[in-house]
Amino acid sequence: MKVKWKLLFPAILSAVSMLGGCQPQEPAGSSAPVTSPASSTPSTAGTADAAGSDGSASTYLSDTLAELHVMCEDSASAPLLVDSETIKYVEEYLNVKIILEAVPSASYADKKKVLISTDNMPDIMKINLSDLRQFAREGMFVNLSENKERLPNFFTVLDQNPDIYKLSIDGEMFSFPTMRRPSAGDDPNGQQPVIRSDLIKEYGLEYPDSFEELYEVLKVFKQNRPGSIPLTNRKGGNTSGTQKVLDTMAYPLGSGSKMYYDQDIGGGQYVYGPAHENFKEVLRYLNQLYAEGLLDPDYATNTSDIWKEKMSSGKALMYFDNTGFRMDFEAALKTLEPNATYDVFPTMENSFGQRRNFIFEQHWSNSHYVVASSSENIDLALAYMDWSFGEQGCDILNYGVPGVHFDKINGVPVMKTSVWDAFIAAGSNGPSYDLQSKLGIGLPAFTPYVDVGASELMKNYMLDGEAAERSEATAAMNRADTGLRRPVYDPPLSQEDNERYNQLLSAVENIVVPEFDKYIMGLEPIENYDAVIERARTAGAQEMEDIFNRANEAYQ
Amino acid sequence: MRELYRRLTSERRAMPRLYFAILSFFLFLVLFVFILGMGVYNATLRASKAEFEHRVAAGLSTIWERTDSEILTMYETGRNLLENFYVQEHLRPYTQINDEQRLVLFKVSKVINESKRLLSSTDEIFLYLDDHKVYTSDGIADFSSYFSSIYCFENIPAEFWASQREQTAKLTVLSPVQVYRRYSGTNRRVVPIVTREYVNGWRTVTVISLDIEKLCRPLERGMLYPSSRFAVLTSRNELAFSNMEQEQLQEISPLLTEETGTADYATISGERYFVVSAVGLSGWRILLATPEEEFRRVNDDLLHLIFLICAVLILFGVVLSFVFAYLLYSPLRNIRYAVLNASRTESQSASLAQVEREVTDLVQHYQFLRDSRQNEAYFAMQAYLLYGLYGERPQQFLELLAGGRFSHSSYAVAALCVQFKSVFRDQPEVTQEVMLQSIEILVEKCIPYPLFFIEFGNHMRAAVVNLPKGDMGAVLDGLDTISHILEHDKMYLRCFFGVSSESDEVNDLQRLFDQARTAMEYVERIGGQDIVCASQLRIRHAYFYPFAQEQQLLQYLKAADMKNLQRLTTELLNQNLETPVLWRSIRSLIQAMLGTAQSYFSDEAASLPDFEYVFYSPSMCYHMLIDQYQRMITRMGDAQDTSNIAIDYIRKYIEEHYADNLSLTELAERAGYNAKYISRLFKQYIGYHLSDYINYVRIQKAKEFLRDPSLSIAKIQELVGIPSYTTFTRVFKKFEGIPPSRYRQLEQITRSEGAVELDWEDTKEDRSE
Repeated sequence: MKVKWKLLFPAILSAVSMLGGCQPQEPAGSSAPVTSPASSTPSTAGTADAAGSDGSASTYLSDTLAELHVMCEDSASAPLLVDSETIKYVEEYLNVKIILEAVPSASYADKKKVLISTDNMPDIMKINLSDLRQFAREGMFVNLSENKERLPNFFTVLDQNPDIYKLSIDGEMFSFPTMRRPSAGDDPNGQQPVIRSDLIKEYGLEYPDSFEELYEVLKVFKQNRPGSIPLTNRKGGNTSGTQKVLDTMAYPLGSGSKMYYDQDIGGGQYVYGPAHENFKEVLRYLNQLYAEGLLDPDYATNTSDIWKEKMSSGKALMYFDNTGFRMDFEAALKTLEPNATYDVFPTMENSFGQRRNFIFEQHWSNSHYVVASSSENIDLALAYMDWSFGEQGCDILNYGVPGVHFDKINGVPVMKTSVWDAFIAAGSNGPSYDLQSKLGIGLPAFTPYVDVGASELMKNYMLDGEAAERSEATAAMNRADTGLRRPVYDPPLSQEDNERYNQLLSAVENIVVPEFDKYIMGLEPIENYDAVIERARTAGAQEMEDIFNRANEAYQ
Repeated sequence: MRELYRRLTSERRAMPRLYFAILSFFLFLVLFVFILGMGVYNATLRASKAEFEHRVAAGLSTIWERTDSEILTMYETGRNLLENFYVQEHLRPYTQINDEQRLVLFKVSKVINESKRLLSSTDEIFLYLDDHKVYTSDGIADFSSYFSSIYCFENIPAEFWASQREQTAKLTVLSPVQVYRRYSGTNRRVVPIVTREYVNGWRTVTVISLDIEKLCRPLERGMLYPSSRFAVLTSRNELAFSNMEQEQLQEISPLLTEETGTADYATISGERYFVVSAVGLSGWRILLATPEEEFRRVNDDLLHLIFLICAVLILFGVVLSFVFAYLLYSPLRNIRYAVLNASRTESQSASLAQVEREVTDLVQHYQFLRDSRQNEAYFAMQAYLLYGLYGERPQQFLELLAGGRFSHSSYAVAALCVQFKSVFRDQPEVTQEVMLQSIEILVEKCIPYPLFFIEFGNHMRAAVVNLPKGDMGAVLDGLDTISHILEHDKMYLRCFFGVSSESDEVNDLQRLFDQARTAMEYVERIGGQDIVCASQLRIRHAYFYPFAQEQQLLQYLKAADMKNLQRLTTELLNQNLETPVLWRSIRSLIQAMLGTAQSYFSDEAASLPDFEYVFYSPSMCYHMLIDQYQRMITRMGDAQDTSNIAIDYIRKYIEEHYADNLSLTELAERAGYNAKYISRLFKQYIGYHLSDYINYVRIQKAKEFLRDPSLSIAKIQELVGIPSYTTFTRVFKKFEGIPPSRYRQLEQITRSEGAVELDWEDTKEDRSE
């Protein structure tokens, strides 16, 4: 019967579709192919990137929102924010979410080693040179030289800085060293002496020209301010206070705190400082200061915060460290002593007649970003890293969101002054650090290719007329200072050499490091240090120097 | 008009009625499923509620255990730190430290750092034993500058910390407080855990800053239900952390202060929450509020499933009911359909409406005729026809049909009987009536020759067909078609056809009619085919009435042995009806059997029932015979036995007062006996029940009155004392077999034409076989 079917059919259909409609949709597949990164074409006008624009498909590095796990060392000065402006912007623009794990410096070394050793690395990780040399050959990190075609920006930058190849392993790059893009405001500076220039004037002194003179100046300071600490220091990230003092002052004093290249010894060779004769002078000098209370008695245990506190409160009068902090300290100190000023002064002559000091290396050769071989997002990680070495990536990671935080004027990124104003107005001690922290830009953040313009120029910006002049004067002074030298990188070592070197280093350090304080504090007469040198040499310091010097020749 | 409408829609109403019947069955089923489902749902609701509560509580204790143990570890670390070897060795007041000792002071910081690293929810650990220096995980700081700028507790000056050394309690947990690191610019909310111990004789204070965020944030992740809200309180019952809104917190604050771990329901911002709390060994508490909705959500799926099933069932029910109802066969629809198809004349439209109209017309026609009591043309016609069929006035029969339709040379008669099954019996009369009419139309359509129907009994019709010579085949084919059409209707009705042979003579109509009737009756009795031709049967013309059995009959009559009379009568009838026999032969047999009784009793008063013009079925014959025998016996008994005066009296009273309202009780009273006794006695002597006898008398009187044409039947009914017309007709029919109106007609005809004499000569001859 026709009618019967006509009736039943739609009924059955409707019933089936009702039941079928209850089925949930299958979720879309998770991983998607990675598109090629945006090429680094310069944007001509500042309006090219509209404020807060969403990344279009063309800028996406990934079709679906992908995650990259990154582990970095947290800086005490500018703590890493997991939801900084840049990270948020990158998520929109590149469709990549950077999941940042910031590990405090004190714990970083161990955590890092554990993760690498147990093959539990995040996609991208920050390591130092020795980690790189130790683990690269084990295949823990992606071989970048093999992926040259995927990293055009990076290799372009490398070609502009061939020295970086010293950081290669057997001729191949396994890491993205933190590198510096030349920019305005990037004047050479380093760990230089910074002193209370107002007191110099007040006590009718001159800037010390030699370390001898410095000793005298500090004595005057102490006399006039009995309760103060003329020279103070801080701990390094993972180094002790002692090590930091040596790191900053050993070279200017004629030696070095570890293995370094000394142009003045033997026509130029690698020397393990603490196992060298000249090191005695360093210890002697420091002891001299310590004995007379001119060096902070707590130098060994000062934390970074404590150091800042002392410098900002007028307790301490001089430091030998990163000059960048001086403006912050001066600003804070001015509330207590309105006339206080901190100034850098030129490199001093040491007892060997040398005038020398390291300025900061152009790049940060001890800071490397590696992509884990075991990562599931290698393509994306490489794409992202290469993007960060491109012009656009470098801009964003160092200046913030285009149009919101900076504009591109004549091809140069220029930070908006309104942004600077906001952070200055917040009234903290280190507005430039706050800026970098909040925006997630610059050296303290996850930035492989650094442009210090944003923070450095900010410091200039914060200065009013007189201060700006002073800043410029300092820059000019530095430029004219012949004693300032860029450090030389270690030569690349073969696996064998690297192993041997590490082995020897641990033995040697075990001998020398516990001795430093004894001599600085004067618990041992300086003559006894010869014995230490002897022991160190025997234990392997000589061999270590040989390894380096051999490798250096081979590299040349 | 209403009648007409009623008839029209009666058929249509059958289908919707059926449809609703089936639909209601389905709905019943749906209701059942629904109730069952709801029952299951409620049961699972209760069960899953308990399950839900259990899970929430269990989940909470699991997470809280971990957090609690972390807090406990912090408590212990404060003390353990000071028991550390290095700390013990090197820790002393700053003023007492010499250079050598200063050398290794950094180790203390290292130890603190180690501990801090192991406690992930710690912001900072520091210790001090004088007012000069604070040993931190980072290094060693000046006491005052530490608390004023490096690690600054909101509203807690350095003096407070200095005073902590004076306290005696080994462990104190302070209130949650903001701590600010000036040089890092970080701001954390912490709970300082302060422990005090003696180290090398100096009272040392260790403070562990429990980072509330780090401690409590992971709790959120560990929650079973993301919509849960919780609040963590320190051992001082101060709120450390909560992800609730401010107002919610306020609402819940009474619960916060309860001592033991609670598990209850509470209303927060209008919603119902299941609230559980747990207290750890550390003294810290957590309160967890999970919206009740969470567990409902799971059950909602079940509820939706139930509703879905019910909805689907309803939908199917509606659809299938319609389908079944449609499929459930409607014979009338079938006939309509068949009639439609069987139509051979183009002039008639093939639409159902046309058929309907025809039926309507017919019904109207009959209705019109039946309703008009004044116009007795129908009855007259029928009477004439019947009369004609009985062979008395064939000429008149022909004259009646002088309309010109009957133009062919031969005649045949097809008798049909429709048996309605119980389904139809529940229907009102009018539906059966319509069915019959429809079958008539069907016959008319299927037999290609002119014919006319005569009703000769209940649901029995005789079709007189006028056909060309030798073309019985067409008639039979037609009937065959009808049989096929009605084949599927066996559930509802059965239609038998008895077909006579053919004859040229009009005078033969009576014989043909007889044949047809016999053939039809044969079909009914034997079953099997639906159509039987008389020519197929060997129809006897003779009846059996052996002498021996006649004698037996006499014996039983003499002895007034009703039982055996009944048996013998049945036997005789069956013997005769075993093989096909002409109806008139049966009639003759019955007359003979009656004659036997009559002659024995010499009962002039016995009147033969007027059944010549009526078709009696065998059972009717049987009953009629027994009835007659009984009466005769009674009357005989009457004459012989007058002993029972009471009964006699009553009988006479009835015969005089038939028109009155008679009742058993009244009569018994009059006779002076008990009603039951009289009833029994009456039956015994007269052979009838009292009420039956009263009616019998009334009917006899009615028959007399019917002979008077001036009296209307209604008047007669009044006269004989029967209350309603329907009752009167019914009772009359019961005794006489025909309604009073018909009886009157026949009387009129009989009287006008003269009395009909029984043709005994024929029957006597037949008897010799």
